[in-house]
Order: sequence, then C-alpha cells, then structure tokens
Amino acid sequence: MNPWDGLLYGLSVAFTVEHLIAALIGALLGTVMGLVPGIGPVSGAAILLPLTYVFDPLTGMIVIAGMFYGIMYGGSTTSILLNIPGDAPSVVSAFEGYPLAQSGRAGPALGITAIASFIGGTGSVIVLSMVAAPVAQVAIVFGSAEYFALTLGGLLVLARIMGGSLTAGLLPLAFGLLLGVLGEDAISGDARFTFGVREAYQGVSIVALAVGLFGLTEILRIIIQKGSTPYVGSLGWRQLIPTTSDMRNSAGSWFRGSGIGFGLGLLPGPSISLATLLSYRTESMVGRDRHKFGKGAVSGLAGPESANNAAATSSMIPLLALGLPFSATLAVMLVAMQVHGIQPGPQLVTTNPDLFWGLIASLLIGNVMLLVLNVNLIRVWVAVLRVPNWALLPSVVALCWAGVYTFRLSWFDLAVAAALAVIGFFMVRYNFQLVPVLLGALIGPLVERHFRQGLTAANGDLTYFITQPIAAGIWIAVLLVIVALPIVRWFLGRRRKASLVTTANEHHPSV
Amino acid sequence: MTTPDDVAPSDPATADEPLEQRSATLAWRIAGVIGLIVAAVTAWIAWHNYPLGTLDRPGSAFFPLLVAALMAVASVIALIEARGATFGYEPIAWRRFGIAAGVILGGAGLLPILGFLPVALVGTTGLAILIEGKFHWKIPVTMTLVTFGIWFVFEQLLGIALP
Repeated sequence: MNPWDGLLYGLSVAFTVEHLIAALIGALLGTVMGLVPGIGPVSGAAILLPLTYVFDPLTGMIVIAGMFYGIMYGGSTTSILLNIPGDAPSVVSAFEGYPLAQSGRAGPALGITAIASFIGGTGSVIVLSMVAAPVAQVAIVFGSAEYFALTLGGLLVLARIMGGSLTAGLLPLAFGLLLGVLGEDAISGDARFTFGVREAYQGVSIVALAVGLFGLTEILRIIIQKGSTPYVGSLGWRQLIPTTSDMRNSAGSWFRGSGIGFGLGLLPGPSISLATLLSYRTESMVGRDRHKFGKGAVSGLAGPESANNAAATSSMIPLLALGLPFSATLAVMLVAMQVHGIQPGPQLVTTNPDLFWGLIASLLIGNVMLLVLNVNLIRVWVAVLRVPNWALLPSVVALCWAGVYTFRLSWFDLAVAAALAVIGFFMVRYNFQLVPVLLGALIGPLVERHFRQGLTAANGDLTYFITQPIAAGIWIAVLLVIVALPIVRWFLGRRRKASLVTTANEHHPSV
Repeated sequence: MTTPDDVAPSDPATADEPLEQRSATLAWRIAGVIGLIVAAVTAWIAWHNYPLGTLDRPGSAFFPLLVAALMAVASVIALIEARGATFGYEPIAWRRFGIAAGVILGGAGLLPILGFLPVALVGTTGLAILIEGKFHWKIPVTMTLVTFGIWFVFEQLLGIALP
C-alpha cells in the first residue's frame, strides 16, 4: 500500500462520529492536563492512561493521540499567558509569547500557536506516513545485533545529550537500568531483587515511574515554594484572530520550524526541546520581524511551536517502525498501545494495517481537533488557569494515586511512585536528569534480551555485535552524535536566553 | 480569589535572572558513594543468588552484574566530577517539604489498606491546608467533591475498582 492510499485508508477507518468524539475528549483532557502546573506530557499521559482502558484499541489510540497534542498545547498556553512553561518544550514559547500577552495581544499569540502547532503537526504526519512503512520494511531483517546497537546506543546518546556533565546523565541511566532488572527475568524466569515480595515480580511499572518521577516530583517542587498560585490578570482580548501582518511575519517560520522539528525529532532524547531552541535561534537570525525579538516577535513564537509539534510527531517514527520509544512521552505511548494489545514495530504495518494507518490518521484527526478546540475555547483555558494551587495540586495528587494503583491494582506500584517522587526531587535539585531513569528502566530489559539472545545466536562471540554491517553503522552514528553534540550546544549557548533555557530544561525535564 | 499579591517575587519560573549557582560537590559525593554501595550490593546479591551462565548461554546474573559495573563507573565519575559541580539554588521550606513528602508517601502506603476514599480525603485536605497556609471552609468541601469525583469516574464510569 503506498503512503497516500494508506493515509486515505486510515482516515476511512478512523473517520467515524465515535472516533471524532474520542479525539475531542482526548484533546480536551490533554489540554486541561497541560495547563496544570507540573504536569507535563509524560505524567499527564500516564495519569490519563487508565481512562483509555474502556475503549477498543483504535479508539483508545485516537484518544491518546488527541491527549498527546492537547497536553503540549496546554503547556504552551501557560508559557504565553503566565510565563510558566508547563514542560520543557514550551519554555521557548514564553520568550516571545509572554511579551506578546503582556502587550495585550494574548489572543493573537494563542491563535498563532494553534495554527503553528497544526501546520507543524500535520506536515510531520504526512511525511511520517511516507517514511514509516519503508523504515519498517528495512527493520524487518534486524536481528539481535541491530536491536542491541539501537537500544544501548540510543540510551548512551540520551544519557550524553541530557545534562552538561557525564555524571548527570550516566548515573541516572545506571539507576534506571537497575530498576529495569527488578522483577521476573523474561528468559530464565528467575525472580530478581524481589526479596520475596509477590507484587514485585511484575517489575516496576512505567506508570509508577512516569507519575512518580515527573508528576509527583514536580508537585513537591511547587508545593515547597510559598505563595505559588499564579495570577492571571485581565489579558486584553481585543481580538483573537491574528492580523494579516502577524500571518505574513509567521508564514515562513511555520515551515522552517516544521523542517527543523521533523529532523531533530528523529534523534533520541530531549529532541523536542532541542528543536524548539534551534528554531528560535534560527528565527532570531532570519525571521521577518527579527528586530522585535525579546519584545514579542511573532516569528519567534510561530517557529518553535511548529518545531514542537513536528518533532513530537516525527519522534514517533522509531516507535512505529522499530517499536523503540526514545523519549519519556513515547514510552508512555508505547505502554498505552501495549495495554490495548498493540505491539508497534516492523510487523505492525503488515500484520495490522488497520491499526497502523488508523493510528497515523488519528494523529491527523488529533491535530484538527486541537485547532478547532483551541480557537473556540481559549477563554475556558484561561478560566482553568485561575483555579488556585490549593485546589489543583491536591486533586492532582489524588488522581496520581488512583491512576498508579488502577494500572495494575498493585500497592507496590504506589510505593514505588511515592518513593521515586522524593528521590526525583533531590535528583532534580542537584542537576541529575530524570529521563534516563525512566528510559533506562523501560529499554533496559530490551537491551538485556537482545544481548543474551545475540550471544546465544553467535555462540558467545562478542564481536558479533559490531561486525554486522547495519549494527556497525548504528554504532558509528552513535559515536558521531556524541561527538557532534557539544558543537550544537555551543551554538545554542551563544545566546544568553538559550543558556537560561538549559537551566529551565533541567528543572522541567518532562520532555 | 487571587490577587496580584499572590505572585511570589521569588518564584523561579517567573524570575528573569538565572538561579544563584551554589556548589553541589557534597551532594554529588553523596550520590557517588550511594552509587558505589548500590553497585556493590547489587553485584553481591546477583553473584550469590542467580546463575551466571556462560558466554554463549548467559544466565540471569549476567546483565545485573554489567549494570552494577556501569553503576560503579558512573559513581566514580560522579566522585571525580563532584569537585566543580554546581546547582541552581532554590531555598526549600523544609517543614513544608517534610509534610508534603509525608502525605505523598504515607498516603501511598495507607491507601491500599484503608481504601481510597478516606485516605484521599484526609490527604488532599491536609495538602490543601499546607498550600493555602490556613484552614478555610472551602477546602474540605472542595476536596470532598474532588475525591468523590475521582472515585465516581474510576468506579462508576470506567468500572475499575479502587481499594
């Protein structure tokens, strides 16, 4: 099936009244979650996960796709209106968005954001639909050596990308790998490090990890700051629709941002944040209204917002084609699919084209829903922002408890989530990264499986892992990224604001 | 009701200047030492309890030992890098932190024993009073609504049993 037929077929599967309502619910819930301080895409999606249990697989995926985009849009909204980014990718949105809102142009700023997100997301979905199936075709011949290179190499790149120093990424990665070992060994059936606790046999659940490390940790961080209820003043709703000159100033930025986002989204790690930063930096040099940068330049908002959604979408290619999630958000997406019995990977497109193309179409529907919702409901979002912290944060804690427990009906998961909240609090405080913990725990078992299976297949010959041509190519790419990265960081760090962002990134690691 | 005075001038998210950088040497050294201990304990347990196997048929102790080795290496790097490490200092109200962490930990521990409704009701009300700084009749009313709302969504709408 060629990509266009596939996309049309997917739309024909996904385009029913029931599915549209599902997308609407997802986008609505996602946006509300994105508005809640401390709830980024990772913990937001994890908390909402139980809500999708009742749907059939495709409907569940459509709800999740809607949430995925909704959460990111919600994060941008708080950035623009309050200068409080909901998550790392929306840090950049505050640079130009907040000054715009301050000068009474909050409406157009949110409008530009909605259009930019739509263009970035939709363009990226269309390219994704063309690329994902061919990549899956290539991946179908991958053996243990290739998967070992992809999983371990991906984790090492991630640990190196996150944080400035080696320690900040490597120590959390080792911690995560260790958490991943806990539980029943998939090959031998041995119960490892369970100390006789029956509930621990299943291992550490991703929901407990995501909610504990990203949701509860952030809530603790907000609670300990006194008087932290945000204030939303009168925002001057002179008009919601951007002016013609706004459109003219941001038109080029939408496409540049989409391109940057799509390319960087393919990298493991905090690629979405990196994409928004790089797009901001690019717009500050070539944007039409670059002379207004820092005082509310529309192009500095439009570019990064397109990059944000484009990267979020293209980062799904490795997930769909290889079954490997390389960001914390995608890890939750993967679990959401597994809950519904969908195992993404090279086989999905051939064994289950309904789901594969339906999933891609659902991303498209999610994007459209978001545009429809946001243009109409901006006033409602502002009302949500006025809910004081004393009412909001405890409610989120109760929701976290309920969400973690109901995932596997396990007290062990609850205990793990609560313990990780406290550990995560201190890790964030002292500049340790949280994402490698989550991905180490999730991908670690895959590394182990392919390592052991590979050794068995190669009769104990360790050179097997680097002599297979594709695996060797992946290892060379891993080395290149690790070497090239300091250069990119230097480029981004030249601007003072960019260095501020790296600080903010470390404090909002919910990529 | 919120007023402009509610905005804390020290709120780091709205502050324009970067946070004050302080030395994280001690914290990183503690992390390094904890890492070494964890690595040693992991290796000891794996070595004594699970089969190592052979290279062509690795057992369930193989990978944990490799992870322990990685942990040890990372911990040593942490001890070396600790010298110049800094972190963005934010003052912590330790009493607030202790209570909040206590509610989150205690709630998670008690919830499966006492049930969702009582634990969430008491826990959320306590947290709300902590955040607001004083008791207000709105707090228990709101938290009762929220707790029962979550219970209703999970139990009735989704059909998932809460404890």
